Amino acid sequence: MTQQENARTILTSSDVSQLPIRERVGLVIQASDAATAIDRIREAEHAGVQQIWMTQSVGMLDTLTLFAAVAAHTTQIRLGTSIVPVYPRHPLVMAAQAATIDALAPGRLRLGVGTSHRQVMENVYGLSMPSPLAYLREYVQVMRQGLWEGRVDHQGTFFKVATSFPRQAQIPLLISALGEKAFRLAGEIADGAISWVCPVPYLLNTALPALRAGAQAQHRPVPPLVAHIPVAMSTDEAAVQAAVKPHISF
Amino acid sequence: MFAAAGFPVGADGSGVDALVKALVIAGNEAQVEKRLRELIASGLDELLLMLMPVADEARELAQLMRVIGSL
Repeated sequence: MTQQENARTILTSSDVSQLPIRERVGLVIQASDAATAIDRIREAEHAGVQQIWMTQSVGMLDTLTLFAAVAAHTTQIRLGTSIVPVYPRHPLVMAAQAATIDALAPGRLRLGVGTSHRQVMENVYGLSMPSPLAYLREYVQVMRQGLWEGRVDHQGTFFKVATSFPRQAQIPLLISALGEKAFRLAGEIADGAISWVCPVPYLLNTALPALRAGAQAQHRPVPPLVAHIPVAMSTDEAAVQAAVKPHISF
Repeated sequence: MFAAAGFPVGADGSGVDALVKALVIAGNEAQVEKRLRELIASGLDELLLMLMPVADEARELAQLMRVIGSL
């Protein structure tokens, strides 16, 4: 399918605030099989949705692989990961996957990565999670050097990487954030912060100031906060409570 | 984080109803659209909407797509 050329721009919080509201509201697509996922994303594009997001769970569809197929079945809808866990993939592997999507769907990918949950990383994958935020910082640095500059020379605590990428791709690199320190880190290094099940007052009063402080400390423009908001299309309050409670863990 | 945001949840599950009500946008298409506009106006840059299916997932997903597409 012919791809519409999306001008590649890294949008700051201030840029986003100037966009029409439809550009600022994305939809999470959930599906247990690839064909249904592709159908739903095509349906979303047809309905005028500008951005879809998909998470990445253990043993489920591989989101970045799926996006390669989605790229061939859609023309302009933006594709975002919210998020792909960093621990199971080396940053060069993640970067190569992202670069492949970007080549197939120029300018349409926003790559959200994150440390995910300790319980899953340690008890399901059997991986250790020392210093998650320091790890994520290095991880994003390695990907950014490779994708944005075409050359990685990183000698850090977690990664020792030296290589070059044949093709530069300035793909927006977002990170997931829940705690204040993670929002600050997003301000320091990322092209956006993706929250998950955070009450709006927390986002406005705690997360946003931390994001802004991180950006200011690094003399960067403030990246956008992408706020995860659950939606129930129902006016039956009791049914909404019953449907939502099993999905919220404390 | 929930407690920090003003939604303390007890070990016995107390406070969960209020939390769910605060976390989830619920309503018909017009009500959801109104709430989305309020959230954007409150200072959030972007929203990432996740459908919580209540009765008929396919129908509700189509409704939500329609709401976003007509913003």
